[in-house]
Amino acid sequence: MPPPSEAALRYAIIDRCLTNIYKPFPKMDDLKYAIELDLKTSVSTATIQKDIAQMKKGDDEGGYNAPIKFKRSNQGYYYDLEKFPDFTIRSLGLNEKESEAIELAASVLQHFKGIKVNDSYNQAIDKLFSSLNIKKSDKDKNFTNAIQPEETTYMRGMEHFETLVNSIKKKIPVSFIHYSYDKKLFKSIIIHPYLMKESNKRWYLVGYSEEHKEVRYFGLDRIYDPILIGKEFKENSGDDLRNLFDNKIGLSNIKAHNKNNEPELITLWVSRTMANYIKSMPLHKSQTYKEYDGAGEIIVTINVVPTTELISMIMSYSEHMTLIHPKWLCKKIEDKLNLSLLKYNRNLGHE
Amino acid sequence: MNKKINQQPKAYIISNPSHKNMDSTIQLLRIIIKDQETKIDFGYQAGEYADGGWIHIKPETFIRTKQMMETIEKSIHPKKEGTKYFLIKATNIPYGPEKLHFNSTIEWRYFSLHFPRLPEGTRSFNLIESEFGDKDEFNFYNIRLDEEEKISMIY
Repeated sequence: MPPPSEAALRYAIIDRCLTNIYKPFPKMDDLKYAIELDLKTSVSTATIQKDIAQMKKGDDEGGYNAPIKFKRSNQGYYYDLEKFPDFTIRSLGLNEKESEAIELAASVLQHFKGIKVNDSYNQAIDKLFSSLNIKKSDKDKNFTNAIQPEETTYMRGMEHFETLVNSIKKKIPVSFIHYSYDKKLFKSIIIHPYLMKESNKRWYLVGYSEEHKEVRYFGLDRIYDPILIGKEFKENSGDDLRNLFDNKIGLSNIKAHNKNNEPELITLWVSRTMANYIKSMPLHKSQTYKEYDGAGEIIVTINVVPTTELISMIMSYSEHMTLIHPKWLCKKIEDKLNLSLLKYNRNLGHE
Repeated sequence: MNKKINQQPKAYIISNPSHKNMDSTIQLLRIIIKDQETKIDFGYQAGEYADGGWIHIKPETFIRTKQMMETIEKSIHPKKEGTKYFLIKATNIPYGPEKLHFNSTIEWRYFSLHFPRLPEGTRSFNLIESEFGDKDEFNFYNIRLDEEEKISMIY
């Protein structure tokens, strides 16, 4: 039987004390102090003695086969390293590079702690850090600070993340209330959930909507009060999801011009300033490019379903990227730019 | 001895229940009937008034059943007078006279009203904030609890 989570944390701390070469033979009081300091809770001597006994047990009894001995002359505990050199319960058979890789992954996960996915997630991250012994040493602090992914901010609706992931895993339909920012309308939706999708730092629940009779996605920030319901689950064909996400930048189709959601060839001019950035990190997996004038400007082609996110992406490059084809999309961007220009002119009193 | 088996689900929802109301800015979205309560979920879109206006719910709001009776002849007909069940809790909306003021016409509010659990066999009910009220009152009529629309809840 696996050890309970609190006990696992104590085992990790005991292990850390027993492998600390700067303070060998930790006494019972040292172990107690270390555990209470780390876990911020009191622990009895009897509990620590039980922990040590459990750690000494074999795999079949949920232990670690830890060769823990008590040295009377020092009144402290130690690992019998003569018989088991380099023993530690953290080793898990990982070599140094593998341990570093796990620590790297753990430090990336650490950055998601702030988004309040749920308490279990935060506890799991704490536990992972504790068992990998990452958080205490200055060296490790530097290591985790060396990785700085983009800051993830809290999004309304993330409190439903765990419920919705569970419904996906268990294949249970969900009833929830949805508010449409565009239509300014609420809807009571019953969805057969398939996956959680992240796009532009926003999370979406994807599934078959009984209301819409097709696979749809719903922003978590617009979902209220999800409830798991007892209905037969409608499986997805796989094609439904591929059609939804393949050949796209973002999620939101511009339906008025492309009712079948077919990919279109998008041709873009890119300035010499941005050309290398676009070459090194393609806009889409379908990207190809050719030199335009021999001076660094390039013509990029991607084959995607036009989306509002595509328009935003093109506009974000400002004067460094111009859409050449298709013309209907050029017109759409021109309209947006004209409107924007009008507002800037007003703002600057140039009317 | 044959025991009568109650097949009514213990807790269930009705999504988009059929009903009538006069105000298009408020939507009755879902009914949840649990052990002790009847929870009704609403969506309100500000927009009719400048700066979005305001909302509240009067504490004396109630639901009144139109409970059906099974007669000796096994035919079903509505009772003339239903039973009133008064509001016990409001979530996300203040009780009047306190007001929730919106800041603009694009704001919205999802809120819920909680009443005692409706008795088994209730087929429809009215939700009344104010008897004979105008369209600004949250009055909903003939809210249906059709058997075929009930979906059991999983806790």
